Amino acid sequence: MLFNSLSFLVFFPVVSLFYFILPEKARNYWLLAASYYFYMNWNAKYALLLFGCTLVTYISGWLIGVSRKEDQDAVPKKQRRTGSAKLYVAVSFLLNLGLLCWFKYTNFFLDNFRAVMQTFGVGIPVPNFDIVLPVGISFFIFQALSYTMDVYRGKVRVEKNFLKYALFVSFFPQLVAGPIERSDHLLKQFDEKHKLEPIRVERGLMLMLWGYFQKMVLADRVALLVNQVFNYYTAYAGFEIVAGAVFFAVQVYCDFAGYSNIAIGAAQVMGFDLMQNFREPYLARSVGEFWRRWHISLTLWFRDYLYFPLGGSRTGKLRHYLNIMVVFLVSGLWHGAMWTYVIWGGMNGLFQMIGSLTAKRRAQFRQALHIKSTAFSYKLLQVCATFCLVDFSFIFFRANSVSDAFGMIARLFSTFNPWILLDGTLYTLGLNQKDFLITLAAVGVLFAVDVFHRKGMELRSSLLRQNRLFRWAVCYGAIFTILIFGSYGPDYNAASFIYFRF
Amino acid sequence: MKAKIIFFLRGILFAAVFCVLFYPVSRVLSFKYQDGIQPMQNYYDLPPDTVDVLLLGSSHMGVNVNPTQIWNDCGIAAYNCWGAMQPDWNTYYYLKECLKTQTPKLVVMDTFMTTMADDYAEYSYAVKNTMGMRFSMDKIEAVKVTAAKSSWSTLLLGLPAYHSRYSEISEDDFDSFFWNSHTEIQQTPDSGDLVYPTTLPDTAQTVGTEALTAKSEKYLRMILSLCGEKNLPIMLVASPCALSKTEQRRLNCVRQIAEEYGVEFTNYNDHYREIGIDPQTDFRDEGHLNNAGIRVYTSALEKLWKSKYTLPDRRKDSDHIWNQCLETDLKPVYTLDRQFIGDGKQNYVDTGVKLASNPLASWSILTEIEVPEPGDFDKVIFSCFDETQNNYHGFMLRGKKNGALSITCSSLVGAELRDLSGTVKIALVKDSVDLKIYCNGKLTQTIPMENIQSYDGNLLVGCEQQPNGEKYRFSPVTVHALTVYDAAVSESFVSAWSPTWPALPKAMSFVPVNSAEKKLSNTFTGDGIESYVDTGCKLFSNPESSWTLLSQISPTIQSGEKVYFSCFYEKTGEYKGLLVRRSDPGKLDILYGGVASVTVDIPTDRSTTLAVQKDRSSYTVYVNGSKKVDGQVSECTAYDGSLLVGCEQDESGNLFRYSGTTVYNLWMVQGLMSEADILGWAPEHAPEAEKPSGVSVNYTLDHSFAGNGKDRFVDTGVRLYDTTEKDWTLQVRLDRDDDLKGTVLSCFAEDPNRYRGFVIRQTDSHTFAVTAGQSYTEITIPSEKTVTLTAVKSGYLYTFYVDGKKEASTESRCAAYNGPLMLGCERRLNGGPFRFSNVKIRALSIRDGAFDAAQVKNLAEQ
Repeated sequence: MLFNSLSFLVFFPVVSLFYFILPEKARNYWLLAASYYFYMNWNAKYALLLFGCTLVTYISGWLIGVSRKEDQDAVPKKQRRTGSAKLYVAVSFLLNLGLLCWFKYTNFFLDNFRAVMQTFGVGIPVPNFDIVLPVGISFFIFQALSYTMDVYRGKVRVEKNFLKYALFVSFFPQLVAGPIERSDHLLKQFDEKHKLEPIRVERGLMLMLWGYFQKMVLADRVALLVNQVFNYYTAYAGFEIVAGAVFFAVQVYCDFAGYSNIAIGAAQVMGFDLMQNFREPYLARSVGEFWRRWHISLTLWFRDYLYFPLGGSRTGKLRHYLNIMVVFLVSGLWHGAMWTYVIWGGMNGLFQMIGSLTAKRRAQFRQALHIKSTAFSYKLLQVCATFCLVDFSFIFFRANSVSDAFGMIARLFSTFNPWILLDGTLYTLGLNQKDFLITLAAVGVLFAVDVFHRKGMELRSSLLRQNRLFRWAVCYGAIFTILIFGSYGPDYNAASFIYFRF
Repeated sequence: MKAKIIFFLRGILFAAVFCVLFYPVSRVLSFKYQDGIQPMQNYYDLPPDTVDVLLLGSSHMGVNVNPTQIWNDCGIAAYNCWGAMQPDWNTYYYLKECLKTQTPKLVVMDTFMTTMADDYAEYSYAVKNTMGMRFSMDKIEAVKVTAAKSSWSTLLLGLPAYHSRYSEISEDDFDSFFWNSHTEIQQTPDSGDLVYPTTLPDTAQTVGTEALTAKSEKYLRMILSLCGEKNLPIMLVASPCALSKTEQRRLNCVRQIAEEYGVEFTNYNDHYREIGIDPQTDFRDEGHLNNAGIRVYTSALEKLWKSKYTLPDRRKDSDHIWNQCLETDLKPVYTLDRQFIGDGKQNYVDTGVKLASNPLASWSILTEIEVPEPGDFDKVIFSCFDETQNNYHGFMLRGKKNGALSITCSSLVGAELRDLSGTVKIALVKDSVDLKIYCNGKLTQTIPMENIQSYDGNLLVGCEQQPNGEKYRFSPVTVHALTVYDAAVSESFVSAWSPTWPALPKAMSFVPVNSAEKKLSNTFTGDGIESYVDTGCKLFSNPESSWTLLSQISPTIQSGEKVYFSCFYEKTGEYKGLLVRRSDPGKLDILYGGVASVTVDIPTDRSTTLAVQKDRSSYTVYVNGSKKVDGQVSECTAYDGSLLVGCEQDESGNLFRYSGTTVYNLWMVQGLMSEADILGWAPEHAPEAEKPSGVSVNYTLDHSFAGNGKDRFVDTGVRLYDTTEKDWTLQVRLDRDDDLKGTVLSCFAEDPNRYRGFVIRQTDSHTFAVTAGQSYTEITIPSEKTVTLTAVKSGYLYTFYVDGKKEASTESRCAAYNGPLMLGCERRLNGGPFRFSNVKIRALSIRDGAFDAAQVKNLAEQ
């Protein structure tokens, strides 16, 4: 069930309405049933996978709890980590990551193995499995593993109520594409009493509207141009490739941030707070900052459960850089079983390493030339440079193969044709003139909203302070913009959200 | 709890407002397909029980059968509720839907799509055959049987399918709201001149039947059962088309099912020759008839229905919606674009309207004419009349020798209007059975139209036509306005008809002398504003052609640019053709070929004879008997413009450089003339064209007038500028009003590109602003309580007097304008008044002729 489907537009109000009508005790059961129904809409059989993952992590958490000798609060954290607890964590990780690897990486590894064997002239018959990737598997497994680890680390108490824990893993707004919640944040919210709060509902609906705008008006419209350029890149060169790459940056941001906003908004309507997943990433002034603003829940997951265990930055320089590279390579692989994602992750790690290595030199350079790093112009330059680096790496993220990505980069630098930006060529890349201009206007709105947010203005709060007439007018404007200019209906290839496939 | 209830109510209000806003957005964006959605949606607009024959089916019904013709021929109210590629299951639900609001006396269904082999139509056809239906259980059922489940929500909601139409929205999309009623009679799509010669298979060769698909058969039976239950006669037909053998065999199966239900089935593929369909000339494509075929097929159906059913002639029912619609939706099929002033020698207007081709058709002619003076011969005002001896028929309006107006329908039928003079309005209104004659809006006579024959000639103004097509009886008559409608208009329409006269005819023409020669009929004197003559001679359409152009031109220039004549491609770097223009006084520039030129001296006190001879690529120029260019070669490519006198044409075809030049003679001779003939060419100056004198402007306001700034004004009917030649004196006395800002009086065409006429406005407490054509003059208002302002037009010179004292003068040239003088407002180009003011006018007098100062004073004293 896609968020931008008619069935969700029926499902969500019904679930929300009954959530508030039902007695307190029944609400979590209702949400659990709704969440499993939501997931089973894709593939009913894979609900077993979700259940299995839930069961394994629940049991591991329970066993970790049992393995503790005394009351948790009375014992220092390090002493709580007994050998058997470590074993339970390891088993939980092995089982869950094993599942993830089987569904997501089996064919990737086999393909590469076959290729290596062929390189050495060894003809071993390597099978290929017809595996359908369960939607959102990377998300709910990571969320469930965070619980195991947090119990192990003593950050959260063991959750004894299995149904409540199952709801934590399967909570439908963020089940298939995040944000990847933490047990210490979300789990306890299922114990809280949620009242119907009009302001909260309005805020949630407004955020959902904004999410729909990002997804339907921007991401899916821009996809036409992006697909044209990336799928037929040999027909394009120079600034046409640049246009494709820039618009892909818009697409991937609006697609994922749009989903996240709908998820957060939907949860908010029912009284739940989900963590923010994007904070104006394209206004970041360094690649490091970009990653603190992009897919925040995943970045934090990798930070807490991979980067820190590897030693983080409290090691030697070489080890520190190695840690960064490992995190980003794994992050790349998490996004998909293709070398393009690995290279994309590697590039982002490399950018950060180079940034860190040259930080001193750059500061000296600025000092020598009396460049004010606090000036707007300098910040703007940083934002633009960061966007260029990130967007350049996105070529690998979107390209259909590594060779395609290199082919595109070669064509990008093969000619200098800035006139195509003005001579109407842009209208031939999959969007006609009217659609292109509408897209530009929508990008303008997106940019303005991000700038306001960056300046600390919370637009929803500002809007809620206005008169009802104005507030409603803005909402109607947004609804009709989505209804008219959004991509949906029979002419629209109902592509799911990009991050669903991760 | 209270807060929650309020929140809940607010939610309902929000949704309600959303629905209100959603409706117009949805209607604007929705599909407006003529071949499926509109026929169903427009059907809902019809008042109950106004349809007698319900036509159902696919395009074989929608395109091939013309309800307008059915109405015109026999007054049967037939409605075509069709959809492109409409399968039987959609026809069934259309029928159910139609029977909710109408009780037709006959249902006619085309069965071509009954032979279809698939259980689902393409998505686009599913849209066309379901989205026109209003939301109901039947619509849901229709959608369910029409398309796969994945499309149900789209077809029911609509918006997912058509929201992306935002990029193709046009004015037509704003005409589909519930307050826009579309109740007009349907007209089949015009095929123009399209002819698709085809061959129809011999259906007699195909015997036996082939089963219909289970779904088609089920719904065909459901249709027949439904009609049976409702006791509603149904007739199945199959229109002529190129059928495959399978389709023929399936139609045989349809016949069997029809017989089973006791329903008549006529497969016109078996009878197309009998009804007169010619596959070589009557099709627009393999499946659909063209205009000629539609006429034949529709007539055949009419005959069949009339022979088997009793269907009322609804034309006699003045309350029927289509009788009412005829008037509200009336659009003229022809309107005279310039007033016609016959010279009695050669000029006439061929309207192209075939008034009598269908003797049963309804039409109306409304005209405003000058009643011809009694004389020695009858004068033809208009005619559409077959002059075949002993078989005269058609329609004709004449001014008879005795001064009466005569309306002739045949040698036996006619009417006369006597004791008329001056300008009169005549209307001939023919419904299929009667011809009504109106004079000045009043019905004077009704002539029954019985046994009338068809005549295929055109309606001609100012002459008649021989049976061999030759025009004759050219008549010196004046027709100010003439409009033809292809429907019978009502009496109230006739009495309300008040046409704005179109512009006067152009005085000049380039007339043929013989097959090789053409010449200018009159001396041309340009006004430097808009006058010119398009000779129609394309001198350079063939660069290899040879011709000789002879002209006599005046050295003087009245105004404007200096072009004598041109056939010239005016594009920088690609000049070509011929251009003759004056440079300095006494100098003549001649540009020719592509592009050579010569500048010659010409006398400034007499006319110049100029001859240009083109012998393929070489040019010879003679000026006043002297050879100035001798066979100079100047090649150019083809140019398709024609020879223009008094102006040029730019590369886009727009005319410019209107010049005040005089051309006494201009002859164009095909081929080469001998030098002796060229040098000996010295004709008399062609006569001056008779300048229209225009109507008299004498007028006195018989009451004072006070505007209210909202809607009060006076239309004096005085046409100050129907010709620019006439002089007049206008005097207005008004109360001084310091607060007045606005129009005092106006006879002004508010055409930003071509202001014409005259307007007086008060801009502040002490200034009148007078605009005459493009010129603007300010006049100071004296401090007296009443002010008398006089404007005297003498040619192009305007003189203004205030309280008898000359205050200002200005020169202004502008073209003619036919609008009347308005007091207290201005007049839009389309005729409506606007810019109302609070002016208080005590008196107004207008006199023919330009008064001098003394006469102006006298006029004020009167």
